[in-house]
Amino acid sequence: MDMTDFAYVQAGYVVALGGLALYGASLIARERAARRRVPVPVPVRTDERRGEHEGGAAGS
Amino acid sequence: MSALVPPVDHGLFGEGARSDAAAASRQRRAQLALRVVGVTGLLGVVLTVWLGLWVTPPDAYMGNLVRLLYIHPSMAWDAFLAYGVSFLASACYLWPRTRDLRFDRLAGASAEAGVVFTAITLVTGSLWGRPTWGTWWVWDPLLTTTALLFVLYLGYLALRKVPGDPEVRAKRTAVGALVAFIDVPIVYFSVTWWKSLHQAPTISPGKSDVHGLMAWTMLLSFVAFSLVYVWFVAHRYRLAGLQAREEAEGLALALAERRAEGAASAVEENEVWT
Amino acid sequence: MWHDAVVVAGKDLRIEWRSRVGLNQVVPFALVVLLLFGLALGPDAGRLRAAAAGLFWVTVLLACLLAVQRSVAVETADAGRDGLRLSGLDAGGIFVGKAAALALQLLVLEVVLAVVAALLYATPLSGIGLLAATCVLATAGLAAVGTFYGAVSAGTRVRETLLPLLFFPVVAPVVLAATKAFSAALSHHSGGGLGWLGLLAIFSVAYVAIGTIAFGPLLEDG
Repeated sequence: MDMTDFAYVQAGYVVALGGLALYGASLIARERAARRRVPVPVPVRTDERRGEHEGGAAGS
Repeated sequence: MSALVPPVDHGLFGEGARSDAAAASRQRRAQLALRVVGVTGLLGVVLTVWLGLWVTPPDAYMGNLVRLLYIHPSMAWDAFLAYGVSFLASACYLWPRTRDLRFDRLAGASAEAGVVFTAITLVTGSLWGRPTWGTWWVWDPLLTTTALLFVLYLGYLALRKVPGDPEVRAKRTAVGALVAFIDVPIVYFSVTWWKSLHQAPTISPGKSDVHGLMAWTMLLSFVAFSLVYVWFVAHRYRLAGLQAREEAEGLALALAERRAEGAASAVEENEVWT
Repeated sequence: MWHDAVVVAGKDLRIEWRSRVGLNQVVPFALVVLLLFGLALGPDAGRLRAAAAGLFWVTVLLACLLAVQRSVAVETADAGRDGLRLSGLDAGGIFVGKAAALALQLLVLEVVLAVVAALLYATPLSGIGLLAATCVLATAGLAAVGTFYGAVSAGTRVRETLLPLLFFPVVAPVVLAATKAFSAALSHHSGGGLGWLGLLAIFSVAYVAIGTIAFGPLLEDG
């Protein structure tokens, strides 16, 4: 078993899994922070607002 | 128009603010589905690592380095998948009939995941190249295109961060994404041609015999990391929805916060304010 | 559309002629870059000659960035963008006009730079026809992409830093192809440059077409 090659392999796994884990953790942390800042789901009178919004977007 | 009416958001994953019970149960189901995807992806990754590092045998030609093939190609695949999704979502946003800010958020979410996967692809590829070719980098068409893609989409993400009216920004970034995406085949073609004129040795990883358990491990890695990609995009998309709401109601939220702060401290200063 | 393009191009060129920002600032800047490349690569004439084509195009690219920023600044100052929008000119025409004005300025710059680079880097100019064709096609592509991304980043507060990040990766194939075509011309193998000319032509046509179509939505938003 070539140990130097294996070091490259290990480095590759560390970078790949570590990178994905970091990104995943950052996503969860950012989502938590955002939920704290936007606490209550706003009650929405869905229909008329949505219609207006769509009409505006389609017209532009 | 959109400045006055905060965009109403139901979200693909039901994170929106519908108050009725049906929406709540849908939201719970979406959350559950996402959990399942996340846990399955995580298990798949653990299994891939176990198979890749301990169970599978070293390759006859590549030795232990073949183990990098259980992560590197699937990362590259995820990166291209992410850019493809981002491109399609941008196109959907630009198409007037399907214009919806949710597509804009999906495009952004997918591009961000794509950048993460591209970075990992470049680093793991380099780690494979060093012992194999004796150098960290070669001007191979695929490598060069990937590096340029990385920079292109960093620019795209930077463009997304520019503050402004959500719909203006969405249109701007969607057009930018299309223009960037069209560049990819041109870059690939020109670099391929450039290299072929130099008579460089063609390098193609994965030419050795991949079979049996090794092939299964590789297949598993594709599935597992694709699930991770889905999980990333779903979470990033949800976050984008929250951020959009925060942006739309930012002033109101900040005012409420300051008022709450003020109410605590202003008891004794009441005269000054009234 | 073509009439509108001529109007806009004429306006931009007139502004440049009166302010002479390009002549007084962009051209000297490009000359400084050429000198710095000479210093960086040392006095060895052979090495400079080998790199001359690439150095020339990187210098053009850097100068092009400044020219694009100038072309955007002309519109953002005094709400010129709103003026353009209100003028009723065709958006595609505005795009073509601005790109054409930019391309014309860049071509003048390239002629000056080519002469100076030939002297500084001891590279006799040969294959003039191929050199000229490369300049025209590459400049069309640069101007189209530059005008497009100039409009994308215009009106944002970070446009000075955002523009190069968006612009440079996209035009990487132009630099590559133009450098190859120039090397072929300078080493008396003009035939080898024709393929690269084709690539430049495809790039330019593609981006002029996209820009003409996509400029309308961009301009509407401000």
